Amino acid sequence: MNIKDELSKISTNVVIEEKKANYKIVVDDLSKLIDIANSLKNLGFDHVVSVTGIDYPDKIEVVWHVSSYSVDNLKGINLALSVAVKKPEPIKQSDPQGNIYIKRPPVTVPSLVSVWPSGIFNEREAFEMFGIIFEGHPDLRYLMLPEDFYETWPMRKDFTYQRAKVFIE
Amino acid sequence: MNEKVYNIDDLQNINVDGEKYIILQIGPSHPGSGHMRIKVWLDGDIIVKVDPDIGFVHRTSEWLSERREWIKAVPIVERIMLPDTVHANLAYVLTVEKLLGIEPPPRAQYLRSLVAEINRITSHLYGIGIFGIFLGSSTVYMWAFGDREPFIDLMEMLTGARITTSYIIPGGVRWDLPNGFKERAETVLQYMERRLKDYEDIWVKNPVVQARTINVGTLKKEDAIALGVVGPNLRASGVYYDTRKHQPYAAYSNIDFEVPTMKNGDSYDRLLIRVEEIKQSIRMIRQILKDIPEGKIVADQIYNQLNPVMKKNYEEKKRVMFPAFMIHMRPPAGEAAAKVEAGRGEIFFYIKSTGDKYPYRFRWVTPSFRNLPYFTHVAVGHRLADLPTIYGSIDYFPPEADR
Repeated sequence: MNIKDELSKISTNVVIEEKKANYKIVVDDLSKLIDIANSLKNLGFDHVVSVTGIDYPDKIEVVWHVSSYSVDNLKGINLALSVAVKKPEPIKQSDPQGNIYIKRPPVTVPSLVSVWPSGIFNEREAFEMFGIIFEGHPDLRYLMLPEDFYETWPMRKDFTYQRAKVFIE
Repeated sequence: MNEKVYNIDDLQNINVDGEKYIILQIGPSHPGSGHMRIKVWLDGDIIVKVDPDIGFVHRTSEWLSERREWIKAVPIVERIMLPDTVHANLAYVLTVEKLLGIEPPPRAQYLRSLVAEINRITSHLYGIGIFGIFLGSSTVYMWAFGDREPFIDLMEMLTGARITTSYIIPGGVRWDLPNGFKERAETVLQYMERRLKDYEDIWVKNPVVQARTINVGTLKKEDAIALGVVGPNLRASGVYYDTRKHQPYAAYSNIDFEVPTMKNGDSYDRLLIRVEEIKQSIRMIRQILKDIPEGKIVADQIYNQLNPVMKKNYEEKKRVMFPAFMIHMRPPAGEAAAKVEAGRGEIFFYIKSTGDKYPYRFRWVTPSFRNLPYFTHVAVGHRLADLPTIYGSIDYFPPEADR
């Protein structure tokens, strides 16, 4: 089985860097994502290694890394499945004390847990860190962050934090 | 947007009838080898549902590494995986080397494999010791932690540090083999082989241990693949997969070793496989010390950056000091991914560079994080008294899972 041919049958947008062992499928259309994931699973990519976001000024790229335990000649491949979503405009809001703060709305992509159940904790982590809502995820709750990080999306590049106000007299 | 998904710990969110079952919170004050909370729904003493609540030792390693120079991520990733520092270091350096396009010389490759295998033995002994105390055997706990010491001393002899070695740098390693290392290593390996027989007598073949672990926490082969678990736990379920074989790094393509696999995938198999892997590591260390080639321990690209004083130091003491290049390193734009088989399983790194002083995106996944489905899927249906057995047998380490 030639992996390049098989991948190019699934998607026309395959980036291969042999030297770095990088295989990447860039998905343009969000609605095609689950179909592509299903055909990758049929090819033999049976588990998710990592799900993460990459924050750019105008968009968020969501990357699933998948690999195989069951098909011998796919065991050496780390395949990235990437989709980019445009970020909504930040909303200015004020709290009852009159402080103005900026709320950054989350983005939405389809969840691939129905295809690869092994991504369940990874997708929860990407959700709390980047504000990516995975539609169809069975259990999308915060995983690691405490309550005071609600909707702050700390791994985005424009995240700012306030130092704790401690006064010692 | 559904507001419900934001509830961090809402009982209503979990589809188990709350009136019928007892909810038991285990943790977060150190239920095992670190801080985590295991929330268990119980019907009598039968486990109905488990929800692992992690994050109590979340140390924001990704956030910190994206705001520091490239080389400064090495101590950060090491401190996350304390029993397994060399592999975290090695995985990160492999990824950076892919971005930089540097290939270390053969002697450095062998030294990397050597220190990684020594580290694997200490990691497995740590796991066996923790498993021992979980089952109530303080003898095995003391033995395993005591027997880690000779190997940690070996690491200290080679790298200058007991645990957080920072031994592997882009392009090579920092120290060459010291005098007398081979003889010392042979003594330690013979000691460990002797001790493994004692472990089998008192622990592995002990009827009490067998009664508490056989057929407890069984994960079938198909489920192990679907849930994406890693490392010795995966191989205990009968899946033949080892990153050292399938994506060879360091000197593993030149070393002859076997990947042990088991059939049943229960807690007892997960114990046995760690003992088998220690035997394989001993075999590998002997081979490496016999076959290690002569030559440089850093790539030419790094060696040429050394100033005359550093070069003199390198020739006399066989020690690589950090050239200024290390702190000013700016790998070319692009992305790289690398995998390393650590003691507990597979570490995955994915780094995106924009050619800047800092990494643009620094993503890494640790083995314990990927072994989390053991709690949610394997413990269900067992008695509560079996939960420590399952926890101990998967060699879970919360600080590593939280990163």
